[in-house]
Amino acid sequence: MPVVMIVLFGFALSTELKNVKVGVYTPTDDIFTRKLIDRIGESEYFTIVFDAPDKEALDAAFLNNTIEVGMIFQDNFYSTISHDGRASVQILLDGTNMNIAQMAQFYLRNIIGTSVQELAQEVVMADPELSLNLPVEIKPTTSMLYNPQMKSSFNFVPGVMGMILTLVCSMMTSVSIVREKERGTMEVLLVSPVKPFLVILAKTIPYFVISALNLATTILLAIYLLQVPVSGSMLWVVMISLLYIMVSLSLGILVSTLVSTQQEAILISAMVFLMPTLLLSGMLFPIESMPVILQYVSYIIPARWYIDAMKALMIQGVSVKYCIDLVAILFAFLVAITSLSVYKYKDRL
Amino acid sequence: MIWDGSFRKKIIKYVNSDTEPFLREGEIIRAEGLTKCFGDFVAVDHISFSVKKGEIFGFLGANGAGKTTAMKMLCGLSKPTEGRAEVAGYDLKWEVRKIKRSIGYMSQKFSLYEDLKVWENIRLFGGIYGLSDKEIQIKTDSLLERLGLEQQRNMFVRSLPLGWKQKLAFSVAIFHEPQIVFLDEPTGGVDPATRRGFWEMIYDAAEWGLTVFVTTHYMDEAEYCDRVSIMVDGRIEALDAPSALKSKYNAANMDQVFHTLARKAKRDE
Amino acid sequence: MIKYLIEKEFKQLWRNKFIISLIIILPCLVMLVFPWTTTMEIKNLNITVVDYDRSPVSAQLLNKLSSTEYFNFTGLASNYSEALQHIESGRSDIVLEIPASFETDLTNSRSSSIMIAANAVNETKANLGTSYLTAILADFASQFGGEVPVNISVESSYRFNSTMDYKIPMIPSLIVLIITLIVGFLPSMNIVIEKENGTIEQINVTPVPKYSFILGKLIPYWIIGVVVLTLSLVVSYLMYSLPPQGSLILLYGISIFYILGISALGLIISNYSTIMQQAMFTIFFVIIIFILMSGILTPISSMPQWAQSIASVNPLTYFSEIMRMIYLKGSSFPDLIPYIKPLFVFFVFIITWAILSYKKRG
Repeated sequence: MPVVMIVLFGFALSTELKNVKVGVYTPTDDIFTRKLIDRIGESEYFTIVFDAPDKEALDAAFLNNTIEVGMIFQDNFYSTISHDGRASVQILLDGTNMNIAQMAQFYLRNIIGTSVQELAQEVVMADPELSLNLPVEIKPTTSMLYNPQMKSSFNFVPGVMGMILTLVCSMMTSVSIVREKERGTMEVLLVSPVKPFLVILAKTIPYFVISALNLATTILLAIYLLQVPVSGSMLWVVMISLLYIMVSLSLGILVSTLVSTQQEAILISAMVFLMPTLLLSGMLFPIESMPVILQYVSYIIPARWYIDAMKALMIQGVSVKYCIDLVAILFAFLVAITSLSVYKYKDRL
Repeated sequence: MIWDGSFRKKIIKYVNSDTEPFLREGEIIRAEGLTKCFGDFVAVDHISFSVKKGEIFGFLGANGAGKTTAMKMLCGLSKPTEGRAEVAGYDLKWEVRKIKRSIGYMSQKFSLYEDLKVWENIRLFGGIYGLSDKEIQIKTDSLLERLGLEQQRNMFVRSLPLGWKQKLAFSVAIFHEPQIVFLDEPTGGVDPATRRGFWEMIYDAAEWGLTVFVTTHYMDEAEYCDRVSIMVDGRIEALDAPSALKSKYNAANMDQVFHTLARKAKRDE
Repeated sequence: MIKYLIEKEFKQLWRNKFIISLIIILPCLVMLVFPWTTTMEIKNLNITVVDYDRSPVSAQLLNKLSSTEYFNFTGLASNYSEALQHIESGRSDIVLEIPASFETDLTNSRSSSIMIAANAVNETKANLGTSYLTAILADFASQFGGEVPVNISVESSYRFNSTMDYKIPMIPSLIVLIITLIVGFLPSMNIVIEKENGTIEQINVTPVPKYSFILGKLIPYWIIGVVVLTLSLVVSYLMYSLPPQGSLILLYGISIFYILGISALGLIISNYSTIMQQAMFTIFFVIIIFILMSGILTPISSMPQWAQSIASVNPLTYFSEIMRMIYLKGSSFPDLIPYIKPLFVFFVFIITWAILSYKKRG
C-alpha cells in the first residue's frame, strides 16, 4: 500500500499549471492578435480550445466546463494598439477554482507582457526618439533553491510520507488492540502479573517493525524512483522518522484506550484523522495563508512538524541543528500522548 | 433469480424423470456421497445417510471431524463439492431457497443480534420468513411466556446469560415452524443443568413432529438422540441407535463407543 | 421482507451513539473549519533582504516591500550566506539581494539588475512568490517616470465568484469529500461485522434473496448520505451564506446515485473481506486514491497522462465536478450530461457487482 501511494502521489500530484483550457473571443482577426493567441496556446500552461463567435458563447462554455479561462480582445485590437499605443484585453477567470484562476491570471499577464515588450522594441527601433523617455527597468534574476527543476514531488513526498506513517501506524495499533479488547483476549493479558503498560508496549513492537520497513521502502522509492534527493543527513532523516513513527503508534494506543469497538477505532483513526492530516499539515496548502486560529490548530497536528522536518532535512539538506526544535516538539508529543494513554489505562484498571 | 422459476423445475423433472423418488418413504433428509473439499483437504468424504421424519438425529465427532461442514452443506450455507442430497423434499443443488424456507438453523457461535432487543430479534427473523406483523406479535407473546422471558422482552440480547441466549436462539430458529431444525453444538459452554433444560425444549419440539438434526461432542447428549452417526476424519464410521451401538461395540456408554472409534483418527485438529 | 431488514439496520445504527454523533458532528466541523484551509493564495511570505546598496532608493524599495500584504519582512541580512541561513532555518522563504550599484545604475543607465532566490521545495509557493515580487519591482520602477510606448491593459474578472473568495470554491468539494468518507467507510465495515459476530450465517440460512439483503443494507446508508448532504448544505448556507446556484432537485437527484454507488462499493469490500482490518485497509486505500486522484485537491490537467486515465475512471472526479458546476455555476442538466453519463455507468456497474459478490454459500 505505501508503495502504490508514494508512486502514485509522487508522480501524479502536482499543483503546477498545465493545459488550462482557454476560450478566446476576437472581434477583429489580425496577425498580431493571432500571434499573441498562438503564443498563449504554445505555452505549456494553456491550450486554446475554443474560438468563440461572441461573448455569450464564452459564458455558455464556462457553464459546461469547456473552458476555464476566457479572453475578450478589444474591437480593432491591433489597429488601436498601433495607432494609440494602448489597447485592452479582458480576462475572464473561473472563480470556482481560485487556485487555478490565480495562477492562470499570472501566467497570462506574463505572456501578454512579453508580447508587449517585443512590440515596444519594434516601435522604439522604428522611432529612436522614444527610447529617451522609457521607464526605468529592474531586471530580476531568479534562482529556485533546492528544486531548480521545479518538481512538485519535492513538496509532496515528505507530505505523503507523513500521511502514510500517521494513518497506517495509528490505524494498525488502535484496531489491533481494540480487536483484542472486543474478543476478550486482552483481559487475559491484563490479569497476568505483567504491567499493563508493558503489555501494550509489547503489542506495538511488531507494528513498529512493520512501520520501519514501510519507511525504508518509502525512502528508497522516493530516492530511486522519484529522484527526490536526500541532501541532508540520512541518519537524521531515519532517526526523526522513527521518532515520528513512535508518535503515531502512541496516538493509535491512545485511540484504543478511548474506544471500545473496532468500528469506532477505525472511524476515528481513519476518518477523523484523515481530514486534518490532509488539509492542515501543510502538505497541500500553505499554513501561512490560513486564518490565525487554524494556524494554531495546525500546531497540534504532529504530521505538520514531521513534514516540516523532512522538507528541511531531505530537500533543503540543512544540518540537523536547524531542526532541533522540530525534533523537540515531536518528542514532546510522544511523551504527552504516551502519558495520557498510560493514565487512561490506569483509570480503568 | 431466473433460476427460482419454472425453468429450474423443468430441469429437475428432466434430471429425475426416469428414476425413483430420491427420498424414501418416511425420510426427510437423504444424502449420497456428499463431499466437501477445501483445496486438497477433504473435510467431508463421501458421506451417505438418511434422517427419518420426526426423529432426533445426532451427529457426533471430535473437533475437526467434519460435522459442522456437513451440516452447513445441508443448510445451504456451503456448496457440496460432490454428491447429492435432498432436504425436506428439495434438491440441495437446485432448490436451496425452498430448502431454506423449510428449515431452521442455530449455529455453534451464538448468532442473534446482540445489539437488538429480545423482541426485535424475534420480529426480524419472523419478518424475514414472511410472517405478518400480527402473526409475529401473537407468536412472540406466547413464545416469551413459554420461555419465561416476558420480563426480558425489552432487554438487549447482549445482556442475557448464555443459557438464555441459547434457548432464545433455538426458539427463533423454530419460530417460523420449519420441518427440520439444524443445531450445531447448541449447548457449548453452559452447565449441565442448563443443558438438560435445553434438551427438554428439543424434546418438546420433536413431539409436535419437528425433525431435529444436532451435532455435539458431549457424549451424554448422544444418549438423548434417537439415532446417532459418529464421524471420524470426514467419514461416517457408525450409524445406529445409541443402544445398538453400545451393544455392537460392547461398551457401557457412548463415551466408550466414541473412544473406540475415534482412536482410528489420523487427522489432527 | 426487506422492510424488516431495513428496520433492523436502523435500530442498530440508531443505538450506535458514536456513529450517530459522527454523522452529525463531522460534516458540521468539516464545513466550518476546512474551507478556510484550502487556499493556495500566498500571503505573509517571509522575505529577507540583503541590501548591499544602502541608498535612499533601496530604502524606499524596502519600505514598499514591507507595506504589501504578501510579504512579511523578516529582516536584513548583511550578506547572502547569512540570508541563506534564514532560509535553511525556515525563518525565511525568499531572499532579495540588492546590488551595491542599485541606485547609481538606476539613475545612470535607467536599468539595474537585482537577485531573487526562493525556497522552491514547494514549487508553487516559490513561483507565485517570485511573481509577486517581480510585479512589485515593476511597480516600483514605474515611479521613476518615463512612459512605455505600447501597453495592453489587462483587466481580469472572476466568474461565479466576483469577490475572489477562496473559501467558496472549496465548499462543494468538501461536501463531496465528507459524503464519500462517511458513506464509503460505514458500509465497508457492515457486512464484516456480521461475519465476525457470526450473525451473517443466521441470515444466510433464511430464504432472503441476495438483492433484498444488499438493498436492505444500502438504503440506510443512502438515507445517511442524504442527511449528511443536507446538513452540509445548511451549514454552508448559514456560515458562508452560499446557496446552491443551480437546481437543488438536480443536485439531490445526482447525489442519490452517487451515494448509492459509493456505499455499494463499501459493501463490495465488506463482502470480500473476512476481518475488519482487511476491510478497513482496503476502503481506506480506495478512498485515498479516489480523493487524491479526483482533481479536488490538485488539478487533473496537471497530472501525467497515466494519472489522468485513473482520474477519468474515478467516480469522484465526475461527482465533484458536477457538484461544483451546479453549486457554484448554476449549470443546468444539458451542461452536466457528459459528467452524469460516466457516473451512471459506475452506479449500474457497482450495484450489480455488489449484489453478485454477496455469496450466501461458501
